[in-house]
Amino acid sequence: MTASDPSVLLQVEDLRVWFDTPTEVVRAVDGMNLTIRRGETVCLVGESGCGKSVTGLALMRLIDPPGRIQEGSRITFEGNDLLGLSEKQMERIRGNDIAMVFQEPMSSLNPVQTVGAQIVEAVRLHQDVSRKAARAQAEEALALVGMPSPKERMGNYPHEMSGGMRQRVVIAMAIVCRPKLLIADEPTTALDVTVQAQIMELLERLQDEFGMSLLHITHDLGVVAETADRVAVAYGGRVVEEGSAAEIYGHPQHPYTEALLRSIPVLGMTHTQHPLSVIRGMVPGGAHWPSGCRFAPRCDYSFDLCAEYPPMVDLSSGQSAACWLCESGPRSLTTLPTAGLADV
Amino acid sequence: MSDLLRVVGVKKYYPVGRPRLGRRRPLLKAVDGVDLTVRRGETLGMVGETGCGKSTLGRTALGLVEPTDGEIWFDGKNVSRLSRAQLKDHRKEVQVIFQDPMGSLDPRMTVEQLVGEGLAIHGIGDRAERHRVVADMLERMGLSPSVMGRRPAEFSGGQRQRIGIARALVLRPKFLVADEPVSSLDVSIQSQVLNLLAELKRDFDLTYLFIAHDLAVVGYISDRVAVMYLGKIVEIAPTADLYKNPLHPYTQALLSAIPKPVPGQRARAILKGDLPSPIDPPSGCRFRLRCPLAQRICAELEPPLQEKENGHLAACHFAGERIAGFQEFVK
Amino acid sequence: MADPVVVSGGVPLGTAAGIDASTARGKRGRRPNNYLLVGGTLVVVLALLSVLAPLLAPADPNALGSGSPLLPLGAPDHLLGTDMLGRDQLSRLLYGGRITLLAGFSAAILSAVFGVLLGMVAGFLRGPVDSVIMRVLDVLMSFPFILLAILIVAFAGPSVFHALLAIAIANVPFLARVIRGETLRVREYEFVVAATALGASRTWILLRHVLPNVLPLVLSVLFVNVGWMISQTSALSFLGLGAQPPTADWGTMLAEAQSYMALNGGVAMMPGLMILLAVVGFNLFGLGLKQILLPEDGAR
Repeated sequence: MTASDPSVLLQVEDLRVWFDTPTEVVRAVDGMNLTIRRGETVCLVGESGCGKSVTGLALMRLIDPPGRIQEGSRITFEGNDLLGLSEKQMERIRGNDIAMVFQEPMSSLNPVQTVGAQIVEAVRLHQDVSRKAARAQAEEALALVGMPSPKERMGNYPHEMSGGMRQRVVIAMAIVCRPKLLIADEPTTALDVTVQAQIMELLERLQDEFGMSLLHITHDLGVVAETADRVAVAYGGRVVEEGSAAEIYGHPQHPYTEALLRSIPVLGMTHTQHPLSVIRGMVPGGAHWPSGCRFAPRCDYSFDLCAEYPPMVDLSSGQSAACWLCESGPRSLTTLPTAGLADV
Repeated sequence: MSDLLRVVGVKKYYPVGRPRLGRRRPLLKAVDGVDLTVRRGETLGMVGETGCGKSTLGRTALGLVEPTDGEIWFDGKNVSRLSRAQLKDHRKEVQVIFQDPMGSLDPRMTVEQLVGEGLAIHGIGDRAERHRVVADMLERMGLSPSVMGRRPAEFSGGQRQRIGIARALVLRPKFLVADEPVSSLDVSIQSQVLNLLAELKRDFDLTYLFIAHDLAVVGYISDRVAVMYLGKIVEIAPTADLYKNPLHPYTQALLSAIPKPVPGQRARAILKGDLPSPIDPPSGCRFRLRCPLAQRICAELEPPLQEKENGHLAACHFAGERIAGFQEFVK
Repeated sequence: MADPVVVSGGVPLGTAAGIDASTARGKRGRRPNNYLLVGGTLVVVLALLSVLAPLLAPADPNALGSGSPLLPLGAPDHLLGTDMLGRDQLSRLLYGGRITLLAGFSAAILSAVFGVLLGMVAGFLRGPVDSVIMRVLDVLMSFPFILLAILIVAFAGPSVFHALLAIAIANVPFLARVIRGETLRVREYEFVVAATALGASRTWILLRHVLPNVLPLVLSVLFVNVGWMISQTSALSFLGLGAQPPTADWGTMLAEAQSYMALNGGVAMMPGLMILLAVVGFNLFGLGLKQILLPEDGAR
């Protein structure tokens, strides 16, 4: 797929975001590749230290010093080079073509402004409309995100709302200008599980209605399974495996993906019957990536070739993994614990 | 006695807002009448969402919070009636591990001081003996005794959590309350700590009260599970029974809402509305405002927690009925 | 989720596993602490001058007529000139400095001890104890600072000791408030709950957990306070309520200097200059200390 492929909305190539601290350089994102098509949900999944959050911020060019997007990174949005734009041009894109939603709604909202005022502000930043028209759009946005009695809610302050409602407000602000891409960084992690279900259903509905693409950044493998069209597993500042949700969960190829899936408890599992496997060691941290395969020190299958970083190998319809074991074809694995559960 | 902990009619109310002359302040009913027993050697899991009172109940069971009403009985003793000295002794038997490994460790103390603090408080052993006990315990947690001189900031989340566990176990308690012990940890570290907790339970002959919001985690480690909503227990059953056959509509909604790492499954039973505030719970059944099965009787009569099947209790007039969209997912 | 999130400009930057907040702030790095350097130098120099006064002073500070009166700066044998009574100013400044610095420092320590005690007890116990302590301190605070000090000295009689006592007492409420605030913050941490769960008594928690965590704030505030105390004790001495003749500290020297300001300006300026240097020195040192002890990234 080339940058001129019209179905590709966003293309990230060799993204590197490094942080200069007085003692060391932290390479939080170190060669990230990602493709997002129109209307698609891509889940970028990984644990802390893998660079997924920084990637999201980089896409919006929200990286402040001491962080810096390195030379050689390419981010192409609708065929245009995003990194070459001026700050003013970028401001026209943020909130308008690409919008972002964060984990903690309370820190995204101004506590001394009403909710309505904040959405109106989002509208008027990008559209030359009257205040009245902007208010109408804001109300409509609140209704769209499933807020009960939207008109009354416009006058509420953030602290007068519950966590789920605040997240809806933040989403309303993000979609009010009908962006083509929504980046959601752990949007449901801070929410209770029943509210989480509501928000996920909301995001899905919005996508269907507007044909919006969604980059969902998360660590929750359950959320990923339910929402993703494509999954990108990140480790060590790079994508180590990519594929459709069915492929990743059905036959994960990269040992890290496999280890992750084996280490999470799933409903129905008990410690006596399905002991969790453990990934030994810890994430080394962005300043100390090992040379060669970054997962090798913790990997149960590592061998001598792993001293050199493996290339991303295409395995089938779209699944690819960066592992030497996959060079000669897909790996077959012993059944995963999730395979034993009822599937509807 | 096979019941190690008995919670009898416990309520915990907090007055809200500033004291006003002549007017009673509204009450936040964090726990509103809970009866519970934890049997010796079992792991009782407690789940619920924000505002359900599970943390408050855990702290009350530990004697860290004084109940507004009701009693706590531990190993035949009425904890609510203990003298100061007796309470101090009692503390050796019940311990706690917390959710936030950073906030629950004093950043200015070394690991040795932290883990050994319990021993120091109770005057157990001299310096050299305590040093040995701490070293042993750290090894048991998979940490090298050489780290005893370091401070919490130098450790990862998972390691800090182990230090917290070491601190709790050094007094050889019988009962351990784990208050969201893995929620703040990375996914791959969670499994390490969960496995460790399971091992320790066997080796130290412990009884656990495991509080968490993640049903999968709770189900993994618990023998029985209690589901709380707005200060009350709405369902309690052996783990397998609860997950195979949830009787209460809230339990069904919870199970349905949890994203499962099996592609193709979608949350189907979605509750309307938000979690109500514990300041003004609805009349009758507290869940009725969000419940798809609610009828008039639900507003008039609060359903008691009753045994519906063997060892399986639920508080619902329509226990056993399936809510729309709920599908069995565990065969 | 797991590790703390590093924030830049209000936008989450990522988790601290990838970007260590304290490294980013140069805690282990080599960023120079200018406040500490400049302030520390001043403080150390002044302290040395005071301690070595007997060795450095060329003459007896109280000897009248050790030189002709009102000699200017740089006069032979009298580097900093003489005052109206012919006393060597350099010697007077050195010996006077001992008193001023000691008074300021003692007042700061005294007010710190009581301020910490009251603030910690009030903040930790809350309830009626807190209310009583705070209301009493409020009353104390409602007096204008200097008026209170004057009242106390007027009651007890003028002397350096009473002056520093008065200043210390007048300052306790401010410190107690600050410490109380910090105590309120610290007591919310779960490690306090953890200690209770282990069986710790409240005294144990106060001494072993609250105090060590409150101490960094105390230490950094202490040194800034010394500057303040120095200027206030000097003020009292200036008014004649502190050091009594023939002992002189910089405050009384400042008062004396007023009378020959027009005649020997250079010499007259010296006491004021010394007070200035002392206050600035301690202030800077305190600020520098604050930067080390209380890093701003909230990683305390």
